[in-house]
Amino acid sequence: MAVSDPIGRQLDGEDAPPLRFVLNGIERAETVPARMSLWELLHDEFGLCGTKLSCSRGVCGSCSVLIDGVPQASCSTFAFSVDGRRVDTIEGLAAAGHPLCEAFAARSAFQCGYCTSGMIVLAKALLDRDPHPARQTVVEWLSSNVCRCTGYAMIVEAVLAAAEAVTDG
Amino acid sequence: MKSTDGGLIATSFRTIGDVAVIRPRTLDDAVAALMHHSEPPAILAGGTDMVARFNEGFNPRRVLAIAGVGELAAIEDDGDVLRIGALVTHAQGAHSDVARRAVPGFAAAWARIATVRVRFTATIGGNVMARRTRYEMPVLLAALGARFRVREGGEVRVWDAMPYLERAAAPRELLTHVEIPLSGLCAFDYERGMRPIVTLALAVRRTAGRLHLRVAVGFEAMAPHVLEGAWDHPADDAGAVAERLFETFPAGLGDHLTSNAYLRDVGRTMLGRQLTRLADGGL
Repeated sequence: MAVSDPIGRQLDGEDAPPLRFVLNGIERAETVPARMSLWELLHDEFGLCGTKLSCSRGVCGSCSVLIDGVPQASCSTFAFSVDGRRVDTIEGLAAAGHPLCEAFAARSAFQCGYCTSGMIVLAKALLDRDPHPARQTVVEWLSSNVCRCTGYAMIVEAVLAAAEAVTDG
Repeated sequence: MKSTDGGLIATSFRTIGDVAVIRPRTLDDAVAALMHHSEPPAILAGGTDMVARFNEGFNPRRVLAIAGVGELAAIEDDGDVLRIGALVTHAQGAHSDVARRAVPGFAAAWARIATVRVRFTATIGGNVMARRTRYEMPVLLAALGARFRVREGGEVRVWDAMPYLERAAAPRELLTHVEIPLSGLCAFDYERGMRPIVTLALAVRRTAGRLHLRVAVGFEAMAPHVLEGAWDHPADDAGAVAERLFETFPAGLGDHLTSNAYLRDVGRTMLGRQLTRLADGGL
């Protein structure tokens, strides 16, 4: 795929590295401008709009995705850096029917909902490492991301409920 | 803000201009790339700070993405020195058994930097090289009397803590390792209860039967300041030692958040608490 910059100049080589990665279980090959963030790649090239952009500097975590199972802010990750890696977004988790999605819905663990996908992705990384987290552990992890509606209590409850569901199921 | 044909716009990654990426696999290749171009590429490790800088308008022609340089991602204890590769993440350091055994209290302090999510990607090298005064790792390393090993071309240089932390980052230089001397090091404590006003890191070394204290005071808007003194433990009262040490705190040192007098006051209170904690812990 030919890649050009915003004024139409062709980019290649170091300016537009080829990229092969697995996105929500599907192998993808792209050539992207080196300046492109992972969030732009997901949103603009793949139409995955569930990953929300907010602070644009890696602080709030609303744009969190999993890269090889590690939660990262996609706004602060260059797209080229996922070459050879696995990226999972909220769409992948929802398609797989992860209990976290059900638990968030059942407990109304959102108000405006803008932080929700980032919170679920972050919580997925926690439960993958610690299927039975203590409440304090959940609080410590979730404090990585910001809910501007301050609905943290219900989010913590949802994650604990999802942990129980994973254990039971 | 950035001025464009369409007017002023807030900068973000959407406004980043063209940039090329160089992805070395070895340390030698990374160092060579820094020397090769007339405008040295900007070094990208975990990306936590670099992307923020891009969003603030920084736009180098090239970035040197060093994440694949495996030589810089290990923590080793050779008996004399705890050697930490510049690419070691906060999460690795916080959970490192090597670090925990070598410097009691250091891994636990490391685990208090940033958030769980950020700790997975942010590196010790990036934290130091960002030269952001509010960052805490330089405070910990200043107390520990760390040395900084850098490569520039074929040359290796080793810097002592404060001269390195107080100088601007040199664009062709690559920080490869942080080295913590282990001789006599018997305790480490970190207080951040008054952050962002002030934080305190304390390293205690036993030399010729005496305890030597090295305290780094961290601020919001200044590089850390180091105080040193002796502790005749247990004869010396912790509060008196803290009082004595903070008598050497320079007059005039302070920032926009707080006055010199307040820093002295809160500093000696925190240090007294740290010394008491170490004494109670069986130092």
